[in-house]
Amino acid sequence: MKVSKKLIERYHLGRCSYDEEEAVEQWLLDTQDTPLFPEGILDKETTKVEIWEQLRRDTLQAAARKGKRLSAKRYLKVYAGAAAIALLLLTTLFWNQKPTAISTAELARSTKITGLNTELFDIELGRESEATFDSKNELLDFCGIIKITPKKSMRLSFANFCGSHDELKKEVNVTGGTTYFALDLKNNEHTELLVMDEDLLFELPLLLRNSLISEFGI
Amino acid sequence: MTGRLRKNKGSIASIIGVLLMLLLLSTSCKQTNSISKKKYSFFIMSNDQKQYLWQTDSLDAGTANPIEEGVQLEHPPRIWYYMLVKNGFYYYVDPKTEYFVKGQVIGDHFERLDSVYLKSFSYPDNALFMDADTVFLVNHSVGIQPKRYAKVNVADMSAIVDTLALPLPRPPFGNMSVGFEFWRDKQLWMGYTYHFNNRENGFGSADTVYIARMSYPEMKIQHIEKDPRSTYPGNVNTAQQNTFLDEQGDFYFLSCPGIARGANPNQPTAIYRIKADEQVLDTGYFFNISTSPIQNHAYGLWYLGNHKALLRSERKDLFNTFEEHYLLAHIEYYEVDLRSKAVHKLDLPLDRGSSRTCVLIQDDQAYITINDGKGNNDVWIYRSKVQSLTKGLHLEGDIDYIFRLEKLYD
Repeated sequence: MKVSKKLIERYHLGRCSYDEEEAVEQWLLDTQDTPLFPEGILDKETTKVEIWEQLRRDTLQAAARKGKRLSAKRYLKVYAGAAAIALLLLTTLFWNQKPTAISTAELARSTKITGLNTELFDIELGRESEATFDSKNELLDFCGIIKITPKKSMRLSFANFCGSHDELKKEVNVTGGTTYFALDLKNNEHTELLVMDEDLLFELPLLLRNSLISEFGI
Repeated sequence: MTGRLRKNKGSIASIIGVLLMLLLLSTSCKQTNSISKKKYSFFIMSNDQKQYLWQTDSLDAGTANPIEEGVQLEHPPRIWYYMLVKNGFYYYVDPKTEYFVKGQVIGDHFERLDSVYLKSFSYPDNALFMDADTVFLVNHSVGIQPKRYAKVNVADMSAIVDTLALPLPRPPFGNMSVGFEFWRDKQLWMGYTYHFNNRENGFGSADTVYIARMSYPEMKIQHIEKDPRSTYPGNVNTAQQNTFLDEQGDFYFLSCPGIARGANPNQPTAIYRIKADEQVLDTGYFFNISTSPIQNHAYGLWYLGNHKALLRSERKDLFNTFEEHYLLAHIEYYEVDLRSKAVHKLDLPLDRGSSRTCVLIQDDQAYITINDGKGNNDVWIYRSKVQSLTKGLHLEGDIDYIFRLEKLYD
């Protein structure tokens, strides 16, 4: 069930069916990343105010108004839902939108990256990007831009097989749990295979950084 | 008479008692709800990528641990780049939600007080206070579409948003960025340039500085001029500053073609100016930093007074790749004489981070923060009049970057 604004509205007013409530609460609990806001779909100011009001109300009271008896499990879910609202509200508004990059799960289903080992890392491809992973040599050969989070610290080789220049290659000690961007940084003078820690993104020229952000929804 | 005195003494005692009670109450209220009136604000990033705001009264000496004494800012990540600090409040556009947020350090936490929605203003090109209550922002790149500006009244967090009349990018350029705004009477000057970013050619900029002059507040373009000697006038001013007005009202700005900004490194970094009594660029004034004894690109510029400025430059002989540019300590500081074009290097440790809000000018002193990656996280004090450099406050703890130092109150 897709969680829409109308559904959230009905949730606050206590007009959802049991299944609909489950869907909203599950969405609240599942939303890990702070997602991008869709353009022009919601009246964000209104929804923001509504959600603040929800936070201030006792969520158990809201559940009680629905006239249902709460099981301990649902009690916990509703409370956790409110906590999740509070957490998300710290960055104000949110909506679950798919980023333009392709996630690991989709990659596993698609043929965009061959030899992908999801035990070793989470990976997202940027627009018009491809990659091949050679697990024997621990070499990630890619074209375009990739976002990679290794699951353990390791020495990973990156190569860039695209473009009209000689193939670039780089070996990097990556830290488990840290997110990196691998890209071909190019201008008129210079081409460089960059494997960049996400926390140092501010060092990129502004436009490049902003395009990475919009591509990957970071 | 005596009897009356005694009665009055009793009343006086109870009045004093009430006053004391009120005093006690007010001080206890302050303690639980303390809003700092400290002079300076720091934004620190720790080695484990946590953000801290720390406020202090003195930069001149001693040691402090801003991670222990400060307040953690849990989100948004990496927001130091876009922060404004004014009159005790902190302001930024939340990059995910695009709400312009007003916050404050209260006691041991950061509290968000209010916000206003500014669509497309995440990661703004430029943001500054035009006056005590008004923030002027220019939005991020939007491809081949008009850029927008916003004026936010921070007293009531109301906003006006409208389009900028700047000419749109044309092929081969697909984007543009605004680097500075400068007001004088009923006119506004904006420095900007165009960019390309694609798989074939990578990233780069037009090899031109553009300046638009507009009527204010109508925002109608009166005149556009181009200078082909450099590119990327100004900067993301919230991250690092490189424009100022001198005592005569002349406006100076730095152009930044270096690899961290304009990415046209064959063009020179230069200081330009618009004179106080003129409407156009003073084209006769072109302080070429790249051909000066500095021999390098620079990204930061601050006015020291008395026709001297502080410049923050890179060392091309100390890095080979873009990665080394941002990882290694190779940044230097120079005092430059805007009239004679003489340069004087400050004997500081090599610094890190191509952009930081790292210079605070107070009277005849410049406070400069250095974070060299070796634990030398210090405030240095430079006195231009005597060209003396001394070490001030030392910051200890697991600090990676001292991203911001600024006045908390004007």
